[in-house]
Amino acid sequence: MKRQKLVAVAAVAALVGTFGLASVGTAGAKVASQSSVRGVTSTSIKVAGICDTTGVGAAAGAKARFDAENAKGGTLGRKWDFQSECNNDSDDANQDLTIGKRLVQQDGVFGVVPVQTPTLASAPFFAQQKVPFAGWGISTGFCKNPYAAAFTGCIVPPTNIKTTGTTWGALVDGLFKKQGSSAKGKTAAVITEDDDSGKVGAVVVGAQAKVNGMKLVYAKAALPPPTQTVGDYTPYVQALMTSASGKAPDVIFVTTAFANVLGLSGALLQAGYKGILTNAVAYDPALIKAATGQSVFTQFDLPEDTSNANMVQIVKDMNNGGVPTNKIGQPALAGYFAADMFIAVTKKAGKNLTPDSWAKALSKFTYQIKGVVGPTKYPQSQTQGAPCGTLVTSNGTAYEISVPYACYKNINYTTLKPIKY
Amino acid sequence: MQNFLNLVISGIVTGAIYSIMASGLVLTYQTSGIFNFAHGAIAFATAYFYYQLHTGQGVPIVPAAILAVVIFAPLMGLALDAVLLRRLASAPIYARIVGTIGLLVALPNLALWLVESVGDDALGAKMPKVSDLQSVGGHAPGIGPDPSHVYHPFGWLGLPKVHLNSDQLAVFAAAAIAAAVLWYVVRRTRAGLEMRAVVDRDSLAALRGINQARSSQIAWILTTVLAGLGGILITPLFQLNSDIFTLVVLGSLAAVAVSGLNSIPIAFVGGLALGVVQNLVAGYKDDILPSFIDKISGLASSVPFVLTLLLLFFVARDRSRAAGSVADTRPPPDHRAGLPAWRRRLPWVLVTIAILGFSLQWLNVASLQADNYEQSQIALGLVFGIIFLSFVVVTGLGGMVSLAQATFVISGGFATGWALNRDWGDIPVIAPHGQLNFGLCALIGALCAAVLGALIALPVRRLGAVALALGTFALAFVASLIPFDYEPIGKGSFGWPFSGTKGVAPSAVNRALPSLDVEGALGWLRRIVDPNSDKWFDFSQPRQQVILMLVVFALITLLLHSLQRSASGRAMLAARSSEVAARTSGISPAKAKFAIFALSAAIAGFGGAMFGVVNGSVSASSAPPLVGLVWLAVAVTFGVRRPGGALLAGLGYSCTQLIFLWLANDVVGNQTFHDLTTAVFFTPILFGLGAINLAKNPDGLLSLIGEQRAERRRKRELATAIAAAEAEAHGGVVPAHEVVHAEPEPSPGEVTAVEEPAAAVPAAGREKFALSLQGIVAGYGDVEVLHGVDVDVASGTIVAMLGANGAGKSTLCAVAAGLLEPTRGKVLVDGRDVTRQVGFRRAREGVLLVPEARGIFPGLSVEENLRVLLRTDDERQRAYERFPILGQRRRQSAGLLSGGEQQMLSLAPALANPPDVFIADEPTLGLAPLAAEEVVRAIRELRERGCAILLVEEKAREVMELADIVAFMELGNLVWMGPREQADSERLAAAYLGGGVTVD
Repeated sequence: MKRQKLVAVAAVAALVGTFGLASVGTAGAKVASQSSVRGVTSTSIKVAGICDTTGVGAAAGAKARFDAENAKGGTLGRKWDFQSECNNDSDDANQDLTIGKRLVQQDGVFGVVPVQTPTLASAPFFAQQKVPFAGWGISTGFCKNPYAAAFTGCIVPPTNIKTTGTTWGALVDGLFKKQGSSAKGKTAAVITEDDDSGKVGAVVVGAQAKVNGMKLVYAKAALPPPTQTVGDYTPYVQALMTSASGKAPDVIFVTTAFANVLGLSGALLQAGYKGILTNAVAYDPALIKAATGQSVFTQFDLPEDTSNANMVQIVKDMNNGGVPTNKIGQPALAGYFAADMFIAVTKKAGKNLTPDSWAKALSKFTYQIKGVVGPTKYPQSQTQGAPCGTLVTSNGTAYEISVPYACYKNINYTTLKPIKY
Repeated sequence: MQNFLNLVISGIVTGAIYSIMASGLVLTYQTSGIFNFAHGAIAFATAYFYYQLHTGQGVPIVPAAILAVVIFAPLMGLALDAVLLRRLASAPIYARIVGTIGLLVALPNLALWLVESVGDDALGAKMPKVSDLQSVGGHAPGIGPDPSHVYHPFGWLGLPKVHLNSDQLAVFAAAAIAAAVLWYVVRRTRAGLEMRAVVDRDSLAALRGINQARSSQIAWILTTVLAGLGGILITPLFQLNSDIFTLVVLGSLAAVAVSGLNSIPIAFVGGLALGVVQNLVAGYKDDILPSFIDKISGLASSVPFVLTLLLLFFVARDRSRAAGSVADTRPPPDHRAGLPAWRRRLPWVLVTIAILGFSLQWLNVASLQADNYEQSQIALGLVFGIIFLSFVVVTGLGGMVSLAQATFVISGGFATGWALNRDWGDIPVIAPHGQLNFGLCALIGALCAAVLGALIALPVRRLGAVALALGTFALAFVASLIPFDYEPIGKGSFGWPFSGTKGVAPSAVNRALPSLDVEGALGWLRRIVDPNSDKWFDFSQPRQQVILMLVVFALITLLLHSLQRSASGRAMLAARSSEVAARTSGISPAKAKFAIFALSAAIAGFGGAMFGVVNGSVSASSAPPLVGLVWLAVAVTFGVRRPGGALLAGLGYSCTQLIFLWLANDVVGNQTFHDLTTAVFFTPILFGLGAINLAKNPDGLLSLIGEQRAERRRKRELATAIAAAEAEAHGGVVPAHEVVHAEPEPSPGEVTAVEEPAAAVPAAGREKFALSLQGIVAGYGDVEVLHGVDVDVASGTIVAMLGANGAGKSTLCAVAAGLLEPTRGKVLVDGRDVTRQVGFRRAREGVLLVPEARGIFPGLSVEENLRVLLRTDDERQRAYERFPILGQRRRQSAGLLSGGEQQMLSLAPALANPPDVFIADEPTLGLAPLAAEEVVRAIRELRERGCAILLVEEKAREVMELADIVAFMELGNLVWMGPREQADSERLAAAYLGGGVTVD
C-alpha cells in the first residue's frame, strides 16, 4: 500500500474515530459558575432587543415604556438599562443567532426585549441558556419555551398543534354587520404564498372564515414565496376576481409578505375589486395613502381609538419617549407591549430576580392592558395565541377603526371545534 | 379568451423587464467574455441613486431620471471597466465569474454605506434610508405617477378587462426604446461594428485599428445604462432592495440561456416569452396539473430556474466546447515553492496555537482570553473554514465555479439531523440507546451531499464554466424552493435540531451533542489543551467546539493533501490544465470533474453537519442560495489554492465584524469610526472588493504576504543559473547574439556592455526606411524568442523572411505590428519611433498585418469586414472592383467564404487603400495553387503602389521569385539578409536545416 493511501485511510479512520469514542448523552449545559445573575445588579437590569428590518421601530416603543418605568423609579428598585437600538437580524437566521449569542455571551443581558422577528433562530439558544425574552409572537420560537413571553401568545404554533383564533373572520363579520348584513353565506377567498407556511396559512385563515359562516371559495398558496419576486399580479388577480363562480368574492384575505400585500391589494383595486379587502400588516401612518380601501387586522388596539384611556396613556408615553403620534405604527406599539409585558413578569418574579424565577412567574400569568392588548394567558399561550384584535380601514386620508378591539375564541383549524383558552 | 389575452399581454409587459436585463447580460458577455452576475447590483445602485435624488433631494422625475441613467450609470460603467475589466481581461474564466460576484457583493453595500453610514451617520447629511421604506413595504416611486394610473389600452378591441398601470406601461415603452437603440448601436454604428469585431476575433481587432479598450468601455456603458434603466423601472413594481434586484436579474437567466449567451435579439424575445410563460403557468397550473403535484410548494416559482437548467443543458452545451473548465492561463507560480516543508507549515502551526491559546484562555491575560461569544464565533469561523475547503477542491483544484455549495451544506446538515433524530434501535457502540454515533451521522450527511453533488455533476460536467456556474446557481434555487421547503425534509423554520432527544420542540432545554466521554483515555489530552474544562470533552460548549473543529479541519486537510499527491489527484489537475491533453493521456476529464464535484459536495455536507453542532440546528435558512455567492467571494479573497486560505477565510467571515467592533470600541474609541466600520454594509464591501482584486490569484490575500519575497528569490536564482550555464558553454566568452536578456530593461536606450552585432545595413540613415526594426529583443513571459533582430524594409520593396518553424518570424511580425512590445530595441515607421505605440494605433497609421490563417472576422459579413478598415463607400467600391467575387457575396458572413476568398477579403482593404507598411504572415498557407497565385499577384500590386512589404513564408520557392531582399532567421536571430540574387540554394537549405550559414 502506497504511503498516500495509508494517509488517506488513516485520516478517514481518525475522522470517524474522533467521534468513535463519543457516546452521545446529555452533556448537561454547564452554566459558568457566576456569583451573580447575568445582567442583573442591585440597581439595574440589562436588556436589549432583536428585530428584523421591518421591526426596528419596536425599539422606540420599548424605550418609551422603559423610560416611563425608569421615571417612576424602575421596577422593584432596579432601573432598566436598555440599548436604544434594536439589533437588526435582516431576516437572516444566522445573523439572528449571532446577535442572540452576542447579547447573552458578550453583552451579558438578563433578557431580550423587544423581540420582533419571524426569524427567531435564537429561540432554542435562549431556552438552553435560560434567557427570558418578550415580544410579538410572530415566530414559532415563542411557543413551548418557558422563557418566552409573547404579548399575543404563541400565534404561529408548530405544525403539529392545529390551533388558531377565530378573530380575523369574526372582525370581518363585524365589518359586514356594520354595513348592515353579516358574514353568513358571504363568499371568501384566502391567498397566501407558495411555501410550507403559506400552505398552512391558507388552511388556518380559511378556517377562520368558515367558522364565521363564510363560504370559502378560494384558499390557495399561489403567490411566489418572499425569497422570490412577483413582477405581475395579473394571474392572481384574475383567479381571485373570478373565484366566486366567475365573480369576485365578497371578502379577500391577503395573507402574504408586506410587499406582496401592497402589490396584490393595489392590483386588485386597480382591477375594480369592490368587496372587503383585508390583510394583517398594512397599518402604519406612512401607509395611509398606499393602503386606501384596505381593512387591516391588528392584534391590539390602535391610537385611533381615542376613547380608551389606556391607549391615550400609551400615546402619551410614546410622545414623551420621543415617538410622535404620526410615527406610531405596529412595530412601535409592539415594542411598547413587549417592554410592558417584560416589566409585568419581572414584577411578579419579585426582588430575587433570576431567569428561573422569571420563568416561574411567567408559567402562570395573564398579561393585559384592558381594551388594548390581551388578556394573554399563560401557560395556555405556550401553544395558543390570544384570540383578540381590531379591524381598521384606511379611507385614503386617515385610518378609521372599523371594528373595535375585542376577543373571540380559539378553534382547531382542521375540525373547526372550539379549544379552551 | 379575455383572461388568456390578459395573461399574455401583462406577461409580455413583465417579460420586458427580463428582456432589458437579459440583453444587458448577453451584451457584456459578448463584448468582454464576462458573465456579469453584478447586473442586478448595477441596476440597484442606479435605482438607489435615483431614489436619493428624487425622493431624498426632491429633484423632479425627469431630471433625476436623466441624471441617473444618462450620467450616473455611464460613469459607473466607465469606472467598472477600469476597475474590473482591466484586471480580469486576461484572467481565467473562473476568476472572471468570481470578479463579478465580488462586484455583486460589494456594489450595493458600497452605495448604501456611502449614503447611509458616511453621508447620514458620519456627516450628518439627512438622506432617506432604505430601512425607512420598510414601513411602507419597500415601495419606492418610479418614473411614473405614484400611485400609478390604470389604463385599459385594449378597450377598443373589446377587451375591457385588460388593464395596465402606468408603471407597467413605462417598463414596456422603455424596453421597446432600449431594444431599438441597442439594435441600432450594435448593428448600425461604427462603435457597434467594432464591438462585434472584437467579440468575433479579438486578436485581429487591434490589427485592424480597433481600440479594444474603447470598445469595451462603450459596451460597459451600454450595459450599465440598460441595467440602470431597468433598475429605475422595476423599483415601483418590486422593492428598492438589492437582493430583490438580483433575483429579478436571475429570473431572466432563462432568456439568457435560450440565446446561448450569444444573441441579443433572441435574449430579448426570450425575455418576453418568459414573462408570458410565467403568467400562463401561474394562471393555469391549477387546471392542468394533477392535484398531488399542485400540493408541492414552490413549483410555480421555480419555473424560471428549471427552465434555465434545461435550456443550459440543451443550448449551452455544444457551444461552450471546453471553454469552461480549462485554466486558459497558467496559474501564477506558488510563491512557497522551494521552501522546506517545516517552513511551509510553521505559520499554520503558529496560527493553530494562537487560535487554541486565545479560545481556551491559556494565558492569564484578560485581553488574550476569548469570552464565550468570541469562542463561539471562532468555532463558527472554523466551521466555515471546513465549508470553504470545498471551494479549495472545486475551484482551487478543479478550476470550476460552483454556486450550489450552500445547497450541499444544507443537504449534509439535513441528512445528519435526520440520522441524529431517528431511532436506530439499540446497537452497541454504533447506536447506543437508539442514538446513532454522531461521527457516523456526520458521515451520512457527507455521503448524502456527495450523492447530490454527483447527481448534479452528471448533467453539468460537460458545460463550460459560465454555464456550470449558472446551472449550479439555478439548482440552488430549485433546491431551496421545492425540497428544502418541504416540511418532512426541511423541518420548517427551525430545521433539524441537533439534539439527542426525539420529539421535543427545538426550544427544549436538553440538547445532546457529541462528547468524548472517556476520562481515562483522553483526560490527559484534555487537561493539556483545556485545563479549565469539565470532566470530559463536551462539544456543546463553544471552547470545546473550537477544538473539535480544528481537529476536523486538520483531518480533512490531511485528506486533501494526500489526494493531491495521489494518482487521481494528479488526474484532476491534468484535466483542469488541459482537457484535450488529459484525454490523450488516458484521463477522462468528465470523470475527474465528476469526482471533484462529489468530493467538494461531501466536504460541504460534512461542514453542514459541523454547522449543526455549533448552531444547534440546521434549517433551510441556514444557508440560502444567495449566501453561496458571498461565501465564494470570501473564499477567493483569502485564496482557494490551499486549505490555509479556507481556514483564514472562515475565520474572516465570522469574525471580521467582531474585530471591527473590538477596534472601534477598545482601540480607536471614536464614534465615527464605530459607525463606519461596524455598519452592516462594511464587511461585505471588503469581501467584495477583495474578490474583485484577488480573483486572479489563487492564493488570494496570502499571496500578498509571500509573493514579493518569492519573486526576488526566483530572479536571483535565475540570474545565477544563467551565468553558470553560459560560463560553462562558452568558456567565459558570450557571443553577443546568444546573450539572454533575462531582465527587461527600464529604458531601452541604455548603453550596455554587450557588443551589438554588426547590422546588415549601417545604422546611419535607417530612418529613410518605411519600416525599421532595430535590435529587437522580445518574447512571451519568461521565454525570450527574438534575441536582437535588425530588419529594414524600404517603400516599394518586398523583404521576405524565411526560416524554419519556431525561428521567431511570427513574433517579429507581432512586434512590427505592435501586438507585442519588445523588451529592447526600436520600431521605426517612416523614421518615427513607434516602439511603445499600441497595436490599434499603428494600424491606423498605416501598418497593416495580415496574420497567419486569414485576417478576417468570420462572424461579420463581407461588407462589415471591409467596413472595419475602409470607412468610405468609395474605398469599399474599389475593393469590390478589385475582387468582384467579394461584391457578389457582400451580405454573406465571411466565415462561409472559401479559403481563397477569405484571403482576398483580408487583402482587399490593403489594395483599396494601400498602407505604408504591409506585413503578411504566410499568406498562401493552405491555399489552392490558383488562389495562391491571386495572392502573389496582389502582393506584387502592392509593391508597385509603393508599399513596404514584409513577407513571412515557410515555402521558400514562391517567395524567392517575389522578394527583393531575403532574410533568414534561425532561433530568434537574423542570420543572413541580402538581395535575392545572392541568396542561393545552399543558404536556403541551411536556413531550414540549421547551422552552417556564413554571415557575410
